[in-house]
Amino acid sequence: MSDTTTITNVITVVFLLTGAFFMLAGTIGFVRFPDFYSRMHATGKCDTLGEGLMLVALIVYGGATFVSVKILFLIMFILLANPTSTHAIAKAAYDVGLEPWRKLDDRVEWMNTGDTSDTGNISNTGNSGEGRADQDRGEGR
Amino acid sequence: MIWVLDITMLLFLVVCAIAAISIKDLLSAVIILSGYSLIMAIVWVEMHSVDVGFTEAAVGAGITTVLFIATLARTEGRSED
Amino acid sequence: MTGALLFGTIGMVDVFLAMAILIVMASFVSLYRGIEGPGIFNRIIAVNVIGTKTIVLLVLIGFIYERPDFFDIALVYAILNFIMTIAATRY
Repeated sequence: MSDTTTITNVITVVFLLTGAFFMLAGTIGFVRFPDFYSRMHATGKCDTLGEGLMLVALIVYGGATFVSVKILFLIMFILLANPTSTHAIAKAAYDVGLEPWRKLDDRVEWMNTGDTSDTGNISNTGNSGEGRADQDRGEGR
Repeated sequence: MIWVLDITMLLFLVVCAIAAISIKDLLSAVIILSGYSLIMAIVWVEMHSVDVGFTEAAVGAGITTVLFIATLARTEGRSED
Repeated sequence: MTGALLFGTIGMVDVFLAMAILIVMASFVSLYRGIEGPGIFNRIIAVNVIGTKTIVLLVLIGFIYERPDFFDIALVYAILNFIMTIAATRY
């Protein structure tokens, strides 16, 4: 084995690990954040970045073949498509009336006293948002 | 076939199916179904059958979900049962 | 860690395998939020997140099996995921 393969292997492993780290961070953020917008914030960025890194690692491992060009197209497309889809969701959610989560002190009046199930009353913004969403959707459609 | 991956995938499918049934809101059920077909395509690819995975991927996310959403746009979005 | 690398490709396949399992675990976690999510929009993001993860998974599996024809599926999935999200938000 010439030593060049070990170097490429080292590079691929490093890229793979960083990519996986970003993806995991995005997933943890997706689950942990209290409100819809902050969740989307986490996933939109971290996933695209984690994706890009891992695919770059695979390109480095794949060498200069047709495969790597295909993966390059894939990376380009995802870097284009992911942010736009996140933006589309954000705009749609905002139109329907899903309010972003504010700090606890200035409570909005239509916030119903939801069930303080897990993290204090942070979670009730979630369903109150949905409550409002249904109400708007009824009028809107 | 890497059996570890397979088992987690199939477990994933079961959870998706149960969730799709038990959710009141129809649009969410449709979206979970598209997730279901997503994982189904992976399982096909896992079993070395590339063309089936291809069609499953194209049909699952491309056609069925869009058709479901189109029907939902006409009918009421929340199931009574 | 370095031991696996010195053997060259022998070590690498397991690395891809470990990465694939890691990604499946991550998509499991995001599925939890997808089902739990209060409103519809959390579920749309959940499917979006799982979609991106499966694309990487597809490419990884393509590399594990050393069969280069898996990457078209990954490409198709990238496009479909985008279309699905736009369709869902249009409604």
